[in-house]
Amino acid sequence: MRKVILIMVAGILMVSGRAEAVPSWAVPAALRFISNPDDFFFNLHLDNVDYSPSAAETKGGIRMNLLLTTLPLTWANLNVKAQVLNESSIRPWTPQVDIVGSYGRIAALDILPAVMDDDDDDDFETPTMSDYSIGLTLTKAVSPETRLFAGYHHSVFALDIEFDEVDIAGEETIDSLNISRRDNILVTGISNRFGERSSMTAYLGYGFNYNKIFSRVVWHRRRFELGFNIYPEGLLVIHPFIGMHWGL
Amino acid sequence: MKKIALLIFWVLILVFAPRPAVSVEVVPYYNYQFTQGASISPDGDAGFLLNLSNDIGTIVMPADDHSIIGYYSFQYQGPGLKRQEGREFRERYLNHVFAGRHHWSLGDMTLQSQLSIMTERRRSGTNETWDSGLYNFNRYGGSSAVSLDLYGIYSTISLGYHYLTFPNYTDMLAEIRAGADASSTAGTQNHHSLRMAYRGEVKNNVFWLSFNPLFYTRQRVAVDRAQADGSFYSSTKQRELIMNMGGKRSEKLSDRVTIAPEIDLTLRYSNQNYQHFEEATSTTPVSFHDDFFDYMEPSLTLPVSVRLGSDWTYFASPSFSYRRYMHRNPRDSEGNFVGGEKQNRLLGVHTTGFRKQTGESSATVFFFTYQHQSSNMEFERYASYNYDGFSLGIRFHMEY
Repeated sequence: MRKVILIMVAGILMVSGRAEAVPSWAVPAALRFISNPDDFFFNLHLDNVDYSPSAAETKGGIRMNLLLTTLPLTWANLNVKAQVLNESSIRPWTPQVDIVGSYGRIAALDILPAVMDDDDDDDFETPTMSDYSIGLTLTKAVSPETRLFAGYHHSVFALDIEFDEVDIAGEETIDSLNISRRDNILVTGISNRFGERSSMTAYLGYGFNYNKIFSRVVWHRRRFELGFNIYPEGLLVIHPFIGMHWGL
Repeated sequence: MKKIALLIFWVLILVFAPRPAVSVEVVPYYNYQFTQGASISPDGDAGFLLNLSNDIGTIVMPADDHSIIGYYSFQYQGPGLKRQEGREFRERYLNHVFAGRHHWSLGDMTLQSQLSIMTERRRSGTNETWDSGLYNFNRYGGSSAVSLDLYGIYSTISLGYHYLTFPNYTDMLAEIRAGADASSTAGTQNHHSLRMAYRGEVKNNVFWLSFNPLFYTRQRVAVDRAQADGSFYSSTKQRELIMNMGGKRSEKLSDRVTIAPEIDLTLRYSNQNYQHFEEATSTTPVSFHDDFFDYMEPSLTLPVSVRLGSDWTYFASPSFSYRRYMHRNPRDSEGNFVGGEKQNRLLGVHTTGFRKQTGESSATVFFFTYQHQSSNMEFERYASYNYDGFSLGIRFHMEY
């Protein structure tokens, strides 16, 4: 089980220990991961979070990211949008207001203590993690097909885990991950509907605490969505994803 | 917490305030653009380019003759797919622009006033964080313009002022060269910028003329002999004047073909001179060059677009610019100045591609750019002056 965890949280690090067997980019990538693991995990957190508004005709929506977090990383996640104000409900110019929140758990970490008890490992310390975001999204339709939105959100990801020492590039070693990142994020975006069940959304976000830049381009179908996130300063710049969503 | 309470208070005021007697028209604007490209040098080295930009604005029209525009723009440009650090580091920057503009229609005349703030963070080396970038700068200022019909020409006359500060800028080599009496070079890039411009429009033709004087607040002018303070700088502050003039014509040749040729001339004058040192780390200058930074630069662009159907458009944009320094001699491959001629370079940037409209407000562009430069400057230890290469990429764009 421990190997599974290590593969999950530090797979790149493990393969980079055998530098002669891996591509040339893997070792520098692993070293960059060590220098800033917070950013890499925060990007995965952002993969799970959805800052776009709920559909106008609904009271809200729920969404989960399937690939590449729930599978293969066992990083279960749920994104909830609750429409607290309909567009033009008070004044013609009143925007739609959504409260948007998300929560995530890495299932493998949660079952790790049970597995480790079996091993009777006295040094084992239970991993802890925190993964959530909360914020507001304001949306205004500018045509029957196009909506513009902006939001302000507080996003948090923290992880504290210790494991057996792993060699990195033959010299560096790593035996724990202590990650804590919280950021206040401004998001602006646009959504364009192509048909009854098809739409496209693009947004760009900026995190004030770390000068964090990210963006998402996503195609929505009735239940599924397919897209990619862009992290220009990230370890992996493009994160493709597949998600599912339901209107309420 | 106090800020959040204040924000909620204002939101409630806006939502529940009594209805104004005059209806206020609000028109939002949004532009999202994502570009991912790759470039290939003559040596076969691939480089990547990623550009993310985001403009958001609102036009509020409280009365028929007044409109107020609030505008925010965010842009990032960097190496993209292959994030390059260490010795392969490539420069990247991000900037934010906030602007507010007021339009006032007075019959045939329009008055415009604008205030803006810009902050740019630039990482020019892997050792820099976003907040410690050597070339980070902030820009504050505004402009006013009047538009009216003058002798059948729709004319806009504008005057602007901006102040640019570079909070982290230092020049360690300059400080070392100045010796024991050196004063800090911090703040030597700070400057005031004025801009006076005229723009005229007649039918499909646009032409313009602008003057942009720059006044540096601390940077002094280099001289050819040591001064009383031991430095090679006089007490005169650096000043520059950038003049630009040009014209453009948009012509629809048929229902499908549009061309928009543009010519442009830039002249730059600076009172700054140049002290030449044999090596970057030398402390004794070996030659002095007057008006080293003055140049003239004509350019020509010939854009053409061809509509291929309801969704597809082909475009091409060949562009040439020729820069000639008025007083600067070129250098041979050893770095020695060559007399009898002036440094020049010819730069060509030719872009072609297809644009696909993918929805009411979205489009995708596939582009290919060939770039070449030739120069009589042969000293290329620190920068390339003679090269060619190409880049290609895809740009996704959503706008309303």
